[in-house]
Amino acid sequence: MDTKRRFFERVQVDDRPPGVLKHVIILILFSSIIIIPYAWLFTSAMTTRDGSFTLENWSFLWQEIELKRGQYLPPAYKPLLSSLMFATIMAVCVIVTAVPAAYAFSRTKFVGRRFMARMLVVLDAFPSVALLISFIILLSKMGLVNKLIGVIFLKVAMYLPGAIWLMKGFFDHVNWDMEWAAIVDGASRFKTFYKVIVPAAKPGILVILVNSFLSGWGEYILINLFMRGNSSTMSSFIGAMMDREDGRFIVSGGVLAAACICYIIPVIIGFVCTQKTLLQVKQGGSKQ
Amino acid sequence: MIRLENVGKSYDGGKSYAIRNINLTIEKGDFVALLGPSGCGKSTTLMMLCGLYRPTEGNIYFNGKYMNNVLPKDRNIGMVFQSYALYPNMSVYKNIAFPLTQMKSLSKEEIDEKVNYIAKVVKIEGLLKRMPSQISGGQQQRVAMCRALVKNPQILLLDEPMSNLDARLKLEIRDEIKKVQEELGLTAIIVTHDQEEAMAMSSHIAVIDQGALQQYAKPDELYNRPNNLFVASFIGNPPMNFVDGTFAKAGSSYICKTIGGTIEISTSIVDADGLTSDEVVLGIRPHTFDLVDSRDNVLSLETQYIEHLGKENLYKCRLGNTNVRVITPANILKPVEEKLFVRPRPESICIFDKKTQKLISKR
Repeated sequence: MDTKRRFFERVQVDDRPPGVLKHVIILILFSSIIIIPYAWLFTSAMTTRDGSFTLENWSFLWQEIELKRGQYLPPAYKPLLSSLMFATIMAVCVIVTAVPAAYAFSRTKFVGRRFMARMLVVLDAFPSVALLISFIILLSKMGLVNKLIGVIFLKVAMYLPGAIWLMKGFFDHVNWDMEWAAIVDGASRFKTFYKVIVPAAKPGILVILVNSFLSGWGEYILINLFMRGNSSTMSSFIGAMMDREDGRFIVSGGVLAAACICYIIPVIIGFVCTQKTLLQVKQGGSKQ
Repeated sequence: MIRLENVGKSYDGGKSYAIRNINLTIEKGDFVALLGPSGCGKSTTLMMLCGLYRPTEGNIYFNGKYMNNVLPKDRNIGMVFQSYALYPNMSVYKNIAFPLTQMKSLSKEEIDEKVNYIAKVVKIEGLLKRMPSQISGGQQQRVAMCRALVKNPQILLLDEPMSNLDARLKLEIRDEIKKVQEELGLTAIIVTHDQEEAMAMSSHIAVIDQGALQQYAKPDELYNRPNNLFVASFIGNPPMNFVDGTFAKAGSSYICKTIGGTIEISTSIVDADGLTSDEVVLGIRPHTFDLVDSRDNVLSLETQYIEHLGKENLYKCRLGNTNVRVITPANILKPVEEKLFVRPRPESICIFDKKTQKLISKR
């Protein structure tokens, strides 16, 4: 009895009831379901086929990998950069289009506004997979097959309705008073937009920026459909790595694991960044 | 200095009006309150004065100049919004300097001088480096006032500036606004639903209800001679008592018969030509009753309970279906069981035509 109490007193800072140990154990058990696969992934990336520690697996970043029948995968930095470029261009296109569009929806009156706003919601829910055939026809007519820019074009178009709707919601929450104050103070409409409204809606813009980036980073279907070759972006690169010969993977599990880690890192960074900013919504100087 | 001529605003092409037929003349240095219940159109009027809304009918003149289409920034006004509308991503200093930076004709030193000057007048010099989220509500309100005043406007517009503050702070800010207005020689127009605030601060009050101007006058005139039942019931706390009655001529004077008794009214008070029928409403303020012992020319009331307020006693009485409040000095106390016999002071009584709701008594 005494030793138990002493243990608790040493471990815990404040006076908590002893039952908390049970809760901690349960939490560890449940989170291990998530943690263990990641731990497995990280350790795989560091081991050879025999099980010894190595950093060789990471050489795929600058070296070619041999697949069966003399096919080679290019060094991984190429598809990594491709993915990066793809995701960035998509994010920029989405922001540059969605933010002003959402502002117009939120603040201005125009013919067809209500109808278009409803269509935004409908299009947001629309599955892009259903349009694959029309995509093929569209891109081939435009001569954009096998060009990343064509896929970016499609991705941005499918992503915009949701982005505009989300951003419109953020703009709606910015008090009209702030714009009125800026107009009375003599700022032009444009200045009001980027000096006053955009900073006030910054969390929304950041969310859309990060989410559209991640959406582009994770795109697999459209890229594999329209790009020839198997390593235009990181997603198809990893897909190509999973080639088999005689029922076994050609590429060692360690290399695959290392490639997956490369692929995951931006997602984790993006997630952490969005979390912090979303929780920091500043509403000072605008009492309702 | 400011003149509104038949100003009106409709949002649906004339089918309904937020505000209509507003005629006001405001002199330089006046402190005018636009007073009325929620939704009456007072904020709309202020917005039209500000230039953010355009009147659909009528004309607005500042110093004789036609202003309907002039942009807010060219009107030489400052506006304080109900929510203060400070820019959250800029420091207090930058917030106040913002109107000046939009003018593009001032140097940094000039801007600095003006900002510091106005911050001193409103007493927030110590807060200039802080962000709006780091200061209290009352301080935010002062920053909003600074921003409105930094360009040295002639007219200050305030949209319910004190509705977000607690009672103590309200009184403090009320004095501040009044002081600043007098010190800088501004013409101020304030929108409020609080009649006490309006009565305390303004030189003139425009009472508005349901989009129509009810009365525009000095506070004591609104208190003693309200134009109609709405103004009479809105101004004054505790509110005026209303007793239905029948009006008739009796010899050389008039009498008014109510459930609680008959009151004599001298002809000098009433202009009977304004009557559409003999049904009237007597308006008597709680403070203007005399407690008497005689039984004629009195109203007899049944006391329900008495509130001892320290400085006075408030009798809550019942006359037929209506509640009547009587206030007496603290030393006069009548027991609850006895009927209360009161006579309204003739110079303070107001008589309204029941149908038109307009005042027919004059003084």
